[in-house]
Amino acid sequence: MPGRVRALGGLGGHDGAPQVNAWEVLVQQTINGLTRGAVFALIALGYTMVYGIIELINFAHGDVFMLGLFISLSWFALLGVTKTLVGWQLVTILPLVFALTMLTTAALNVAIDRLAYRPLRRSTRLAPLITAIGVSFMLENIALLWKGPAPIAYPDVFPSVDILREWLGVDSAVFITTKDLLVVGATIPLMVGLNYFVTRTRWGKAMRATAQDRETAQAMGIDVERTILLTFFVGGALAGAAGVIQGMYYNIGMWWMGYQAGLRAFTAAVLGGIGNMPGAALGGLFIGFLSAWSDQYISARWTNAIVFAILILVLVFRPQGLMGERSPDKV
Amino acid sequence: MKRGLGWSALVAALLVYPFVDRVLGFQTVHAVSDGMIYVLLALGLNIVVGYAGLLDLGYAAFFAIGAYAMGLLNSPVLGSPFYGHPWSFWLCIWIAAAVSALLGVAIGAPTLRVRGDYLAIITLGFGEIIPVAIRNLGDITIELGSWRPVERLNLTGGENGVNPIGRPYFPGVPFETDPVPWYFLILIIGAASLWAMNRLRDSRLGRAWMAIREDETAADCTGVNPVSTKLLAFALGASFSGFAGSVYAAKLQAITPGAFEFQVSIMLLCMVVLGGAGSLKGVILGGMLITLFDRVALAQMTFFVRWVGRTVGVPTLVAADLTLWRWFFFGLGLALVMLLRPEGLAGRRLRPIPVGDDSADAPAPAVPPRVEAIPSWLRDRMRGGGGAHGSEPILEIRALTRRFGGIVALNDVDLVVPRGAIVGLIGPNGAGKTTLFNVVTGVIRPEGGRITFEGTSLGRLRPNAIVARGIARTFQSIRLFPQMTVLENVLVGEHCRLAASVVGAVLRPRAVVSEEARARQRGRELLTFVGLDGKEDDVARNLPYGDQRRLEIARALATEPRLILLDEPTAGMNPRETETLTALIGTLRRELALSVLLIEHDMEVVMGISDRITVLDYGTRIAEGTPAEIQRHPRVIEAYLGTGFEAERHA
Amino acid sequence: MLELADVHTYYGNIQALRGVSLSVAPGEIVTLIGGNGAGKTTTLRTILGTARARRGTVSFNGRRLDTLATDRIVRLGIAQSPEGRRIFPRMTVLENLELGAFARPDRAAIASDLQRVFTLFPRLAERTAQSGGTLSGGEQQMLAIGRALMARPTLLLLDEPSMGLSPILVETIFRIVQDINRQGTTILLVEQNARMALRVAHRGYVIQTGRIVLQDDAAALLRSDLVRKTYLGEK
Repeated sequence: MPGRVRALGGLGGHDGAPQVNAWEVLVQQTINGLTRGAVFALIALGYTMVYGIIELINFAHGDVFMLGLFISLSWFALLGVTKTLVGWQLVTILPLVFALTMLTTAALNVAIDRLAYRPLRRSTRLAPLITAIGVSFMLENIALLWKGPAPIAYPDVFPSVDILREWLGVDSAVFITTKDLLVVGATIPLMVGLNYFVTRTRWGKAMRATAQDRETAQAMGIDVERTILLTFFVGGALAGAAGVIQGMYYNIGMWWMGYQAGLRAFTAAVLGGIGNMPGAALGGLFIGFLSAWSDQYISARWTNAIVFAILILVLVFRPQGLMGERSPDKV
Repeated sequence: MKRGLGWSALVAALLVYPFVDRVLGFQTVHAVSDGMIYVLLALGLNIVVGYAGLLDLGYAAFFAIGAYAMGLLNSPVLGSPFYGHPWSFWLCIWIAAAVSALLGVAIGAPTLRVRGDYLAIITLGFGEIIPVAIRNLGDITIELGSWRPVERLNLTGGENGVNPIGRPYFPGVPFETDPVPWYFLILIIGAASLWAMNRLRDSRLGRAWMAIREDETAADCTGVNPVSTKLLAFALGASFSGFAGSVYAAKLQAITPGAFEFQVSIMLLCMVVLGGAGSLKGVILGGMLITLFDRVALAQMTFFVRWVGRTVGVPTLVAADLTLWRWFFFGLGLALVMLLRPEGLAGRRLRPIPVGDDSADAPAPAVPPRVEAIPSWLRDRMRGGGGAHGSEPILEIRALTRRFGGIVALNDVDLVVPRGAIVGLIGPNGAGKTTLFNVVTGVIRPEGGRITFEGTSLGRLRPNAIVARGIARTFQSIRLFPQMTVLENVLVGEHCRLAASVVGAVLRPRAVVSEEARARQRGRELLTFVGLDGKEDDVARNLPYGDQRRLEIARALATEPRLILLDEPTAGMNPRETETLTALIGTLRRELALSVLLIEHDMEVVMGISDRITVLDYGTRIAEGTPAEIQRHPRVIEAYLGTGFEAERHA
Repeated sequence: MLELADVHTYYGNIQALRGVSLSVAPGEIVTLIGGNGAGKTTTLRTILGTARARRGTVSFNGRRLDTLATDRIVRLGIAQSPEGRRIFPRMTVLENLELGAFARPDRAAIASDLQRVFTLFPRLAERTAQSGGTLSGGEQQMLAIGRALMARPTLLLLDEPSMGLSPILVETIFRIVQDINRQGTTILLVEQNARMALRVAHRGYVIQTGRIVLQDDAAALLRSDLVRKTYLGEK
């Protein structure tokens, strides 16, 4: 797995390199945290946007992320990509696959809303949640049947170049590769684009307005259902992008990865303040760091428990999250 | 449960089935027994989800605790002293249930103040943490520098699980590989559980659960303690899985953490949802259907599809394995039930609310309250407390203050309700009237000031405790328990005046039985008084609007209050209904010496019925006096009609 | 221009309007006054389609409104300043105003309308980047009216603009309301503050427990004793 510290005391490196020190471990895990966090942030944004507008925990969102990874595999295959991309391919085929995958997952998310959630708009809060769980299971099973039960190998389409060693000539146990650049290079434009959409465009503002006060938004002539659709579209697209990044970075995909990633991303969204988009992004980064550090310094076996413990603590003691606003329940 | 022929036939079939199976050689008893364990679990989940309305997504955690409690107590793996005795299984099964119940309380406690969907996520979180903990506590090593106080400690058997586990011992009955004894053991436990659950549902506690499920705040303001009620739901629901888990562990002889994952919780939820949450028959039906589907139908369908494939010559069909689709079908089932028939197969079908019509020639006139039908016990109860406090006001509010964010909702408000008086509380929009009610009934805490009821301060009591003291209320938008019957709604009102406990609900000693009978009798008398007799089995949400308002009052009266707070009781009523209700309020005061504090927008009503009126405007008291005084009070006119209205008029 | 005929509106089982009939002619300011809970806001919600009339009709320039969706009704030329202002709290003054113009097809004219609103409400011009939730009550009311004006409506619905405002501010707001009317917008003004409303309006209706109990020229209502009696429940 790229980015992991290969030695932790005792092994020594090649070329007579010195033993790894604690500082390098920390740096490495911080980089790991950043890359994980970017993926979590993209998924968390989808959760928070949907919750903000219709107060639904879209349980199936994590599985849309997982399917994004699987679907991007198909797009690569369709475009005839079998080996690592080079040169001009990186600027033509790669963005194309991103775009195609994002469109597919966006459409999938919209379809799920129309079929499973929209009929329940006026129902209690729990009915659509149960439906969402049902959809989640359906999506996971589809992936299982599609590619089989074993983890699938994601072809090494993105070149992995050890930056420190090969470009800068620095000998260190820390691994920064071009894949890390990919994560940053893909996530930042998406976030910038999302921010622009939400703050500058008419429909983005309509989305925010509908989330803040649905009835008044309707009285401004905003078509609420269309706005909700748009929210699912954007959220689905982001989850798809996260899936592509995940696949190209870790070169592996599992049909059950949506569940764990989804819950961790949901924790991130809640931590940042559900409904709050910058909060979701920051929460994603935080959970990324947390999971990387927990894997390293405690044990990967306990990380899930730690993340869920944080989820429980936030929901019980500060449900509005760190950046959210408190909304009192009226009697 | 069906009586008579159907019932006996079912029992006979259940008793005879394993022997028939053995004779015919089907060998299904093992699978059916396993299925019955899951049905038992689903019944436990039904208490939490169906009765109390708490969506628990991590129920498998209790299953795990039950199984592990039995496993660890009754196995040589950790050197338990209980292992090896003939009575060990029978003892440990109760310990496992108790441990599960404790865990239920532990998991339920953090969820008490949390909204429904967040509650679901929290339980899911616990459902994930428990298997992780079980996996990892099989090999605990704690290092502090070079000091290792704990090395390779095994608490749970870790990933390998626990085995072997001690079997039940009963003279003459072999609990080994023959499935028949296990079948009957589970059947007996199942039947006993059903019996207990049935009793619980039709009890004071069962009604409290349903009230919480329907409307927690209204239940709180009717005298039901939401904290203890919810915790009991978790504890009791969990304890059944303690039994189920114990038998599961002993039967399987080995348990591993992998058997208690999220999917199991969801499968149990499927059983409850499909069958109909809240219906015992429904859950059993749902459980049976899902078990059948999972263990039998999928395999059979696979054979069929393969046969079709071979016949038609399609290779993909020949290699099909539909058992790999089980989670797809479970998920699809959940979604379809929610979308098409949310009450499940056996749940009560929710009919659409009938429309009330205000045509001038509506047939049945509103039934006035029957003064002669005032229950004597109510009269006695009300009058009883009169003596010592005769001349003191029943309610005294001094300097009450409350802010919301930057807005001052109540600003140093004084208000007095003399004993046996009707006091009106009026004021323009946003004046703070409902906030005042909420503070008096304990729903909101004040920031300053003091409330004294019958001479003692209300302090920081919870709403249900305030109800027990003698203050009842109705709500602006009627908050009945919509899916409960008329009589059940009134019985919830009596909750705080009854004393049956959990044990009493199940065992039903004579004292509890007569208490319930008395409660029902009193409920019926109240319904007759307000003019709802004959409708006691109607579902509350189907009542016409005027009747719903009267039911709310009957429910409030059932708490035996001395002071009743009515929040816009005539809202949305036609003139005829308004008249009837006004007459009812007058009767309450006249015949029962009930004190009334009344918020109203209908000025004619309030001016006509009140002894005194207090006027609020933007949280401040601007006037207090008799109706005639208030109607001429300049500040009141100003508040409602605008500054200088009078001057303008005469200009 | 606007006509309600025998409208009965229900919230679930509760009847809020019991046969309300009123009309607004082009160029008028008509006011609907009454105590709280009388049905004033329900009337406006019925016009806008947020609540549905179960009986009776609502027409605007001859077109039936009671069968249309809210966003379609708004596009016909009706805009609202809601009860309690209902500013989008986490959006700026400018964004709030822009959203008011959301449904307009003629996007080019929006800039000039923005200027018009800033001329009417100079206080808003000073605070374009401030988020709506942090404005004072008076500023929020101005923003609510301005936001409604951004739709360039032919009919403007104002729901209790005086609520929570000091008398001076109320005078200012009502003066501006008259200006808006003089510039050509027809106004239906719902108010609890009878005096201010009757002073600016041409005609008035008094509503009580879902029924219209008084209707007359505003000046006549202002002079009569009936309004006070109705408000304060004197027979």
